[in-house]
Amino acid sequence: MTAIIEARGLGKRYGRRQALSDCTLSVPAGRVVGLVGPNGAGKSTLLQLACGMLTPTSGSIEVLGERPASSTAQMARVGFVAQDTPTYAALSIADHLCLGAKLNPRWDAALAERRIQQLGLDPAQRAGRLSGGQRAQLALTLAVAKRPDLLLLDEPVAALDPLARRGFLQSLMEFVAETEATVVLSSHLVSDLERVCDHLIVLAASRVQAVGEIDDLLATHFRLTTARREADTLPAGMQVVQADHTDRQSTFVVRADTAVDDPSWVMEPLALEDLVLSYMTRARDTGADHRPVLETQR
Amino acid sequence: MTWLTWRQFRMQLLVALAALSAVTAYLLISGFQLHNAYNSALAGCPNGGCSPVSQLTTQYRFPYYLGTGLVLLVPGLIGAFWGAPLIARELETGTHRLIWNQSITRTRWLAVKLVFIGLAAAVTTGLLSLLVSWFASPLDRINNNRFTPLLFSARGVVPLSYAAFAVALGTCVGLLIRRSVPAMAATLAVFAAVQILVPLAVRPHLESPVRGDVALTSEAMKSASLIGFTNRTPAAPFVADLNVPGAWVLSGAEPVRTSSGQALTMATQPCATVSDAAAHDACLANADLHVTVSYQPADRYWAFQWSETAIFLALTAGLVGFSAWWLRGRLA
Repeated sequence: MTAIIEARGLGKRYGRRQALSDCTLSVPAGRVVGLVGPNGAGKSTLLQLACGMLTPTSGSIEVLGERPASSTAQMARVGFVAQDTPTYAALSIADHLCLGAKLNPRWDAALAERRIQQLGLDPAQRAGRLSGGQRAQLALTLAVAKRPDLLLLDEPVAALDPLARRGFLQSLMEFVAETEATVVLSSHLVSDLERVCDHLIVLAASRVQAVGEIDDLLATHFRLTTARREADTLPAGMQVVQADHTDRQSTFVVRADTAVDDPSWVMEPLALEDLVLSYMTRARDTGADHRPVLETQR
Repeated sequence: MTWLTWRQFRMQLLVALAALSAVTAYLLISGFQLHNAYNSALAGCPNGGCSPVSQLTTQYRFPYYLGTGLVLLVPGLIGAFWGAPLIARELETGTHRLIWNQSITRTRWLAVKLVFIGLAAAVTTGLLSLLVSWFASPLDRINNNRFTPLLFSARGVVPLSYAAFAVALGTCVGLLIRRSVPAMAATLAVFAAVQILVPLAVRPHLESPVRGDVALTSEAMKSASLIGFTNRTPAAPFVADLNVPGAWVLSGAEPVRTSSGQALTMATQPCATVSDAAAHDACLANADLHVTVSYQPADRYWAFQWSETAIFLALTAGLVGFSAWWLRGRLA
């Protein structure tokens, strides 16, 4: 399987602040990858490192087999929609499409025009007068009509209302179905990603907490409820992600290859949102004292 | 990329051209009047020095100062209004994240923008300088002072290099400050500082000045910036600050000396007893007095113009190189 993004020990430091540390991951081709984490977890940093807007301060990252933004040919294969979906307020929609056509060798003019038409936008309208949702759609159109092999989207729906959000994600899925490109989409809401993604990266406290196919993650994480006991008394092969204790009862979120039947506990599957939240909670509580990254094996 | 640069820049360019064409029309009309008046005044006064000719400087004072002032001002304004927002505006609105993710390198993006805006700036300033130089040529001939600091900066080829420098400076400042309005203010401030510093500290030393004696003739006395005594006591030194036609005098008030080289005071000056002002001046003019001044001679004018142009173009190249380096490596 060819990796579209391959990061090894990747880190980025702004002055004293470490925005991303020791990030090792590999994104396989043809996936829709959700990048989820709380605000300030390093999601934007990771995406900007992947498109070459930033250069790493440690480690390395390769995108489509090359250093990001190392050549214009490589830049032509990567589409990026930045946070807040910037567009030129003074330029019209048609101007934006013209800009895309002149600056990208693989530009698909028919696709761009069809999308603008489907969205019911007037090409003569200035981008500054578009609503947030329309602007996001325009930014997506620009990135998509590049015909990229990898499309990176940095919180594209964060500022949109639920209706615009749904419309945007639908457009994105149409593009994926049409081109089989790999997409990496960041959000701090699992619910946004759950509907569209098949692969997940959980990023918190500037580190990768968990990464894998969503189905695999769901199949290997459980909520285990038992009479009160300590985490280290659980059988080997169960890795505890989170532990909660009351006077009589203990609740664990564990990672295990299969559910283990035992009359002394209840082991049930976990919703994706709970799974992600337990990793985020762990990252917040442990802070710098960090445990090894869990990676699902296939 | 050229298309995008033009599309983003055309409003600013049109506003500037509209403003300049109004000035151009005004300077052209008064220029033709001035040239006609000068030629006819000259025809009635073959030996020069007539009052109708010298009256022209007073009569055309307003367009003269306006034009000269504009040539001095326009490069700074171009730097602030064209140069500073060039990158700062993109950084401010986040559109750099859009444009740097098209299939074009940042270096090329910057190069196209700078060449386009730089050329527009040089052409605009060049045309304005040419127009003003043409308009003011009769007055410059009468005043014979184009080498003095302010006029030197407002004539010839140097304004073009100022414009190129201002664009590069504005771009660089905008890149570092990352916000348009503060970058515009900073660009104006730095540009003004450079424009004050260069004539004071750099230009006088481009070539070592000539020291020479200038005779205190009645002509020299008429064009002198200063002539008299440092105070009212009998021992007060007799000093003069004389002008050398077409040259740039660097020294200030220097002692007036006799032919044997002796410095004079209020008590020892030879015409102390002459009370009538005109007779007093005539007496001084005949006394064979002289003043030692240091100056840049008139024939060095074009050498200085080209040297200063080269200095500013080198500064421009330095700023552009730094901006490109910063853009490639240092910027988020």
